[in-house]
Amino acid sequence: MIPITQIVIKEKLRNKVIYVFGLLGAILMVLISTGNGLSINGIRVTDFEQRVPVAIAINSFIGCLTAIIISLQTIPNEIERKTTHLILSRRVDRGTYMFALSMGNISASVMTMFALNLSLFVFIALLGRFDLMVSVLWSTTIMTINVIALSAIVSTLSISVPLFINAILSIGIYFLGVFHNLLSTLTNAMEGPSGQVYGFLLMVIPNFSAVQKQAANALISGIVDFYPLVVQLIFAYVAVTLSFFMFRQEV
Amino acid sequence: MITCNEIIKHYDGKKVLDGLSFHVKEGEVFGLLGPNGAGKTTTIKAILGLTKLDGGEIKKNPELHIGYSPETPYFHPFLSAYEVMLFYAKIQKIPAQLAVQQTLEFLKVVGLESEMNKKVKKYSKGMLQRLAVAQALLGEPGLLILDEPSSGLDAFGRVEMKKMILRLKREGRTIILNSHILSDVESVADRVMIINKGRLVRSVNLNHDDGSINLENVFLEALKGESL
Repeated sequence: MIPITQIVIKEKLRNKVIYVFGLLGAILMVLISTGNGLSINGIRVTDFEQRVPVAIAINSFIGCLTAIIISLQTIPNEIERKTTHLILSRRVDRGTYMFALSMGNISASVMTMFALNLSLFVFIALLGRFDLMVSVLWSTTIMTINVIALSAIVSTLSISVPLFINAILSIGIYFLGVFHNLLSTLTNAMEGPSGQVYGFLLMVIPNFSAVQKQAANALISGIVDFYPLVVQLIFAYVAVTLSFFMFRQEV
Repeated sequence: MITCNEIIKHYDGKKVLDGLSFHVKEGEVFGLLGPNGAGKTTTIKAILGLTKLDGGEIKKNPELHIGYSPETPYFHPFLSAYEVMLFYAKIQKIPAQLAVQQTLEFLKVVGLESEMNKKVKKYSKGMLQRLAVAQALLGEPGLLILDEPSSGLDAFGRVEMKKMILRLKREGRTIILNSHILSDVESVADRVMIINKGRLVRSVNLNHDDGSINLENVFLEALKGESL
């Protein structure tokens, strides 16, 4: 299994799209970390400390989009190139193969997220704000849980769902997850069976906003509620485990 | 070595394999012939266990290790041939030392030893086909399936491929050769099965000593009157 995961990581880290996003992230970090041009709701944000959460939020957004891009095509490409034939004819179990590919996607997505955040750490070091280092590291690590969950879901869906539909579904899941808390509040306010139906649908959408909230807590107060993080990791675990059982009829 | 009994396969309601039966003996080169859409690739996929049959059975030793060289091989372009071989050796869980030994040996067999450190993206179609055969040899498979090994090769590449198959034959390997180039099959195969629409049309023993069989004539005659 490990050689398959390693080859996926090697392939993904050669993907130009990742470097484009990485460069974009670095440019944004330069813009956010230097000068005094950042303004939120018309209020100028001058302290570096206040800009850090914005930087982390942007990195998280770019990281999640990159995770979708990374995870969308790995498995369909393997099937299209018929690499599957060479692997499966060697008596490698189908489920293990799909799991290994999914793990490759997750690993590459985490690495990309780390690369995106690296520029932020560089600026923290350059500005001599080493006091922020631990809380930012903790916060970005928590944000990475969302990347893991998203990559796991997209990878598993890519086994059976056509590429274009999966892309739309994945973006939809991400945005629903980001607005999960808001949607939960709205659903709770709804009366009758429709509220219950929407409530059930929300249960199968990972709560990205809860994780983001804990990442913010880590940055501001350092006090983190581990429950939503564990739930999100369980989501990722279930999603990646499903890759063992999903397979296209023909490979 | 391997026996297919009345194997049946449907795709989208269409019968692709229609009760096909044949037997491949140990140490022989078995040619698989037929027009496009005859069911050759599906037969290979069935033997490899890549497709679920709708009927019939394939009898083989559960421990039988099959080496497979696909028609259009794809290898990660950023790897060298040496790395490709080690990757597939690792997947087969071949011990590291033996993997290196077999890699060097089989790259030599296919004539790629001097190019083994070159990235695969710089390989020609012929070199990729030879690398596909080399990776199929890893782990010393009991049965080797070569699916259109001369596909896309120029005249020189075809001659080289034919020589290589003959060399493998001399080593006593059991080979299923799927090819649409009749002359190539004629010069290397011991036995040939002609199929059409998933059915066995004719099975022919090729006697290389007296040269009395002209496969082209046999093939055309066998398919005469058949709807293609």
